[in-house]
Amino acid sequence: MQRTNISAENREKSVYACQSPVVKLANEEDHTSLFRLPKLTRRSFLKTTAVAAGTAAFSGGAATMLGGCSNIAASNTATDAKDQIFRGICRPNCFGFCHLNVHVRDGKIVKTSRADYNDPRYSRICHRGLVHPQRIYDPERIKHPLRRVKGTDRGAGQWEQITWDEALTAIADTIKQVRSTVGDNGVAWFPGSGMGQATGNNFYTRLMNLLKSTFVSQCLDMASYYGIQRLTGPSTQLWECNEQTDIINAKNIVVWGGNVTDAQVQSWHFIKEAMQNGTKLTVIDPTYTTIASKADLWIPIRPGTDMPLYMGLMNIFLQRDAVDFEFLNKNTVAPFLVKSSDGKFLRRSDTGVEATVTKDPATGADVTYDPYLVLENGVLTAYDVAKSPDAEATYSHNEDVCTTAYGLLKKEIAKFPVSVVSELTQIPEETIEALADICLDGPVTHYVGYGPQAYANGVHTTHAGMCMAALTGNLGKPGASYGSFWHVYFGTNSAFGAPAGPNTTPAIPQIAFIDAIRQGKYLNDDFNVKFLFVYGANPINTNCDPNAFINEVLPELDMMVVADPYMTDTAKYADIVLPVSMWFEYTDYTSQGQAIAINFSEKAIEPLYESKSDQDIVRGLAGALGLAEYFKMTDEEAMRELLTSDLGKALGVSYDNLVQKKELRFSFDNPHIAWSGGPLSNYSSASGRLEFYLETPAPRGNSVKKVTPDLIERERLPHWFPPQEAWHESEAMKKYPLHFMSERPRYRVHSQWFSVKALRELDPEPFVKINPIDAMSRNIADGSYVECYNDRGHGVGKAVYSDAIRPGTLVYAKGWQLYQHKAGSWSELLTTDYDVFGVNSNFMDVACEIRPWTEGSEA
Amino acid sequence: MAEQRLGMVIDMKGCIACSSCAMACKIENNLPDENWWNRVLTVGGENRDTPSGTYPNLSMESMTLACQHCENPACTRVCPVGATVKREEDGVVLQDYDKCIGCRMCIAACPYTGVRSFNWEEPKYCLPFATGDADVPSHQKHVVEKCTFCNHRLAKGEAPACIEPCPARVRFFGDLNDPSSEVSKLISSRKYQQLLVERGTNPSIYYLV
Amino acid sequence: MTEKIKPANAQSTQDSQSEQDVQGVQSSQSTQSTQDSKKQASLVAIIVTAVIAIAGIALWIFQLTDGMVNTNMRNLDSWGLYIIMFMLFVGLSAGGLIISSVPRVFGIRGFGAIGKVATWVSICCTVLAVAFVVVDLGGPLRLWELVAYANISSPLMWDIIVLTLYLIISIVYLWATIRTDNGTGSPKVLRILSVFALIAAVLVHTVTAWIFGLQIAHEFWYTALLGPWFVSSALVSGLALVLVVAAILRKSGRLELENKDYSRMVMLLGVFTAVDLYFFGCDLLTSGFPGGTGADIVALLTTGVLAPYFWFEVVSGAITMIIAFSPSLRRPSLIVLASVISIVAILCKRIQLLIGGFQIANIQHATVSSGPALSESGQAFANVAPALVYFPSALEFGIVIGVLSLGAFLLLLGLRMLPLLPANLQN
Repeated sequence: MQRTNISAENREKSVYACQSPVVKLANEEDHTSLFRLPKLTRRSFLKTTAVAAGTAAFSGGAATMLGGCSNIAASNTATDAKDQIFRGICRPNCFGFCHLNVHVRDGKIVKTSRADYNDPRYSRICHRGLVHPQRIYDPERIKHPLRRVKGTDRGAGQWEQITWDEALTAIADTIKQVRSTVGDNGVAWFPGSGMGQATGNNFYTRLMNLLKSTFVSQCLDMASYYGIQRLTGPSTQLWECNEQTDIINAKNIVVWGGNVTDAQVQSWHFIKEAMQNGTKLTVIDPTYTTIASKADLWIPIRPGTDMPLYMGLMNIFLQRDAVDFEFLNKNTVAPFLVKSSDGKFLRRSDTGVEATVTKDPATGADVTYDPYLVLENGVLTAYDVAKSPDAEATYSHNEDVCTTAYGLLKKEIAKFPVSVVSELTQIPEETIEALADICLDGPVTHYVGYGPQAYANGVHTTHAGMCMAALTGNLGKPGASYGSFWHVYFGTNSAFGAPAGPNTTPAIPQIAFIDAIRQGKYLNDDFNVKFLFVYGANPINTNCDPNAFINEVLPELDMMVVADPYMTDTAKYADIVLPVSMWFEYTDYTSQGQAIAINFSEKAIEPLYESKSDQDIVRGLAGALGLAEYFKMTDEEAMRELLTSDLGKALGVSYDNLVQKKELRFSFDNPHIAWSGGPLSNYSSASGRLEFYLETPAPRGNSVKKVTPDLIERERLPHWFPPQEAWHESEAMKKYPLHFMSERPRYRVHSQWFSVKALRELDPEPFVKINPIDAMSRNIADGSYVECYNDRGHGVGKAVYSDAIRPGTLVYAKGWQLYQHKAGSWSELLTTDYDVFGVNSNFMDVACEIRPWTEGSEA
Repeated sequence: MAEQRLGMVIDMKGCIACSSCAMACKIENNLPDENWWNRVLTVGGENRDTPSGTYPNLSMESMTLACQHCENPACTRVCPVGATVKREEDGVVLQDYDKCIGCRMCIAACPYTGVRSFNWEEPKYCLPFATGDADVPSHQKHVVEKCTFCNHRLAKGEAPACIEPCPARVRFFGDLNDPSSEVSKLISSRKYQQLLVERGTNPSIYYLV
Repeated sequence: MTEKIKPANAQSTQDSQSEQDVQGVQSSQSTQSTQDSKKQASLVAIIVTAVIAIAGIALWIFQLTDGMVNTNMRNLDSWGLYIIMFMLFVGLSAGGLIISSVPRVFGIRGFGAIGKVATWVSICCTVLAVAFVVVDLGGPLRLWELVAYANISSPLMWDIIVLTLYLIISIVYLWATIRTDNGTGSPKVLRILSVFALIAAVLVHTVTAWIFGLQIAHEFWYTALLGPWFVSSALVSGLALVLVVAAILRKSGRLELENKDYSRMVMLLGVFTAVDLYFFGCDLLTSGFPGGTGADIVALLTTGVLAPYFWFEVVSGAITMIIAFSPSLRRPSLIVLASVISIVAILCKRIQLLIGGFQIANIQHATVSSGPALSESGQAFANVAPALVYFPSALEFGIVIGVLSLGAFLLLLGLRMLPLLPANLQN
């Protein structure tokens, strides 16, 4: 590299030999960033000839000792060529789906920077998105297909490199063999949320549906959505509430068990801006999280007691006569009459009037009309006719006493006077009253986190929360919201996923998977999974109780295949590992996230090593399975097909539009206000209303647990029962008195970015945060190694004293790989037990004990 | 009196310690392993991301710390060979790697703990190629380095790399001598604090509180 | 028993031996063999120190190529043993020159034959001080820049200039002293040179102090008292070193010094120690009295991680003063003890100053402190640990030993090659 000749004068002004003299700065209107600078003059244009690329390979000690001559010895050539910039979408499960400029120089991704969403409020990037160069070229990338050396144990790490042909053939052969000996359901596919792209995931779906395989569905954060959605109806979205750009309209924001600043860094600024605009922030969390430190009011709550708190608030609303009956009667099942005989709503047909059937003019389909009955001034009326129904009433239908749903809810609410709630939640009564003031000072955005729902009683938290929101009419309006937000594009052409018709093999939730394998039965069928394909997931790391997976699932399998870009914990236990390309190594799009956008992600570099995109892996596998005819399309053709639908048309979504604009919004309203009555913003329950009382409670998903009548009764209305383990009166806590909670740390997204150097410099090793009181009583020194343990397993990491931690609890960060722990892992302690209705991973419902640990201690 | 006085405003009320700014700097400037020019600090407990006080009466904030580009720098005074100088036109304090003799007097003179770093060995990189901007000078063994306000970007009319990526949107950069600049407006309209004011360095970084 | 001082311009050994022919061939023969063995011992010592010095240079080259990461200095404590030794040796170099120049300046009786040796010791110490700075530099090959790009506002620059001048003046002064003692020089010129030497000696320490004392960044360093204090510390350590060297030379018979002079020197040591401790006391009180952050510094010294060094200095000072001011205790063995512990005490002082300056960080908020970039003693989750922020590595000790050996080598070489000692005792 040539050294530019810098005159003494210029050298004084511009102290880098590599640079031209400094630009004289002056005010000018034109600026693209927050910093005003004039257009560059010819003289000030940076001479790139003197640039050194700073490789470690060059020069060594001798050159640098030559003082000023060091630049001459640099090996890299002048970089007059500008960087190529591609649009990439970062897509782990952080909900961000940030648009990045991916800068490529000499065929390498050298940096990323923030690219804009069409709505600049959504433009964002974070430190994980910024460190992609280190992540993409991380030594932990899997370079070639690998097969476990025959005769060695799973997890022993003995691999032989094989070709793609060998790998795909071996996989296909096993699939064929299992299908013929055990049946279609013996082949199972296990996805995670790690690879957020549409085409790749749809290719897997297409293949597994063709094979009629068992789909092992995710059970992450499901109680939260289910507790809401069973009230609102199976809407197009799972996690539905008002869009984040609506937060500014709130008078109060209440965050329930969500550490927004750490788990969703991209969402914080919406809250911040609202606060700058006068909105008040209240945070309810057992731990003093970062967002709690920002709040106007932080309410420490006993973990697992959000539900009583909601009930207590409703109790106060009732006392203060603050119920919005107009809203309730119009939007909810409040006035519907519930028969005490069967718990169902009273319908006109119950009174002997036949249902009428008409034809829908638009579709020609039959429309049955058998309205629910309500009382209006004591007179039975059809619900859609009554102008002002009675919310609180009873009616004797034959011998069956019917009470309005609201009346039944009120009975439940009556069980929660403030004194009872205060004792359960360990929140002072005046604070609960203050919270009630806040919740009545609307519009209120209730930002619901995923903490409180990760217990056995998680479903009832959001069920109760929705009731609370409904009671004050705090739904369906700007600023008035209850829930967590994450949207998935509903206009995807679902025919793509099922080219030969729907999959007749039932899916099974991941949390029930282990149970089903133990019992060998699922939904009255024999269940003997012999082949498991894991993609975009790291269950041995992030799911509950990895020991159960290793000791009970793996031994049953003839083959486990893991497709991942990185050698994760689960990949280490595989029989065959397939290297998947990273996000900027192929073209795809994403269609989910908090910005309600379909995002286009361009290929910036060639796939590294022998990695392949998920699409190509599926193509290869399909070929080996004799299903190549179904995968003849190119990636572009697939994307076109996926993006072509009627709903898409209505939204202006098409492949060409996407390529051109890089980002297409998939919402009919802006901002999206949930339950406002607009298109795709309606209750889609059977009654078309918010069913806070459930006629026919049904579990979220199938499992091997039985639904008993008493459980059905329990689920009709919000019902209090404590967490299973994380409760001072539980059996588990008699032996393990501490509550083991997790946080979503900012230094990873679940277990992704686990080995990135720069992030590990900031966050070097597993730790567990402990209140000094608990630590000192156990002789645990700050920064010493400790072992957390219970009957299921143990994990070792550093103890970190933190007064933010509620005494009696511990907080650990999820996602450390096994090899990063001194012993065990945090996930070993987690339970695979689940609530039969929620069918959710109860990450937080864990009891444990902690003790000092020294090297060489009993494992 | 300098023509421009480039400076930074960081809104501490909004900072969430995510380290995006620190990471942007690290990648942009191709910092060697273990080397950080910009760091996140927890204003609270003894350990990072922990508060001061006793549960539940707690308090915690975060801030970021890099070279303060002081108006009255202690470092430029003491460098025996003038390897660190404050540029007249805009007030940026720069470091000339080629001149630095590695005496580390500047590190001893600078009151801002840790903002200056010395390459104690041949810079190691976890990648075999440089990341970030092509115009960044290469790092040398046994010289001192620090935040340069991304001098290579200033030359192109761009703000430092740490400003835009902040997801909390709490970082601002501009000319403090220009009353109409965003940074000037912020410090005239909001309460702020500066670090170690009593040392007389007159830093150009303002923290809104 | 009082020994007679031989005239400085004594004749050669052979002459004196021929005069004593009658006295005893035996005695002259024994003197000869003693002198031979001493000559041989001195040669061996010179070779040994040279070898160790070369080993030190090899270690230094290793430090430069493999990196200064092999020291334990890090960003949070960017100076260490080398600068500590630099301070110490600047201080040690003062003593010699002041001992030889002060009497001349004020026309009072000196300390006898010790003068030239003291000056040579001083020169060696100055060379070592410079050597310690050089081994501390990251880019010693860029030393030429100090001339080309000198920044005159830098105290480091001032120190380099003054040290250079000091070295030159010391050498000139020694040369002049030798000539004057030989009878070829002019005592008047020598006296003028003495004045310059004295001024230079005081200046060197004051300016060295200003490297630290002018830095408002470190509360521990920033005091107007540091200049005078460095001078007093220099006087203590420098004089103590001269006393030690004198004792060695006396023991080996190469120097004759009246006990009276020896005693006067140790009394002076006592006075200097008293002044040094007085300055220390003033500084401690000033730091601690307001009870603010200064109290942390006092605590650091008296009960914190630096306490061993602090208390050693204080106790050593007390012992030295007792020995110095008690006529019955002014015995050679105790004088040597007082001198040695005084040097160590001043070393402790330098350690306190340097490490103390870095030990208490100005910004102590919790941050990432792991990795070689910041501090070895830091942890990922904590701010600077309460342990000592710095302790030298093996490499640093190795290089220091090498440099010290270089000093010993120069000292021995000078004693052997230069007419530093009284003629009749010269080899």
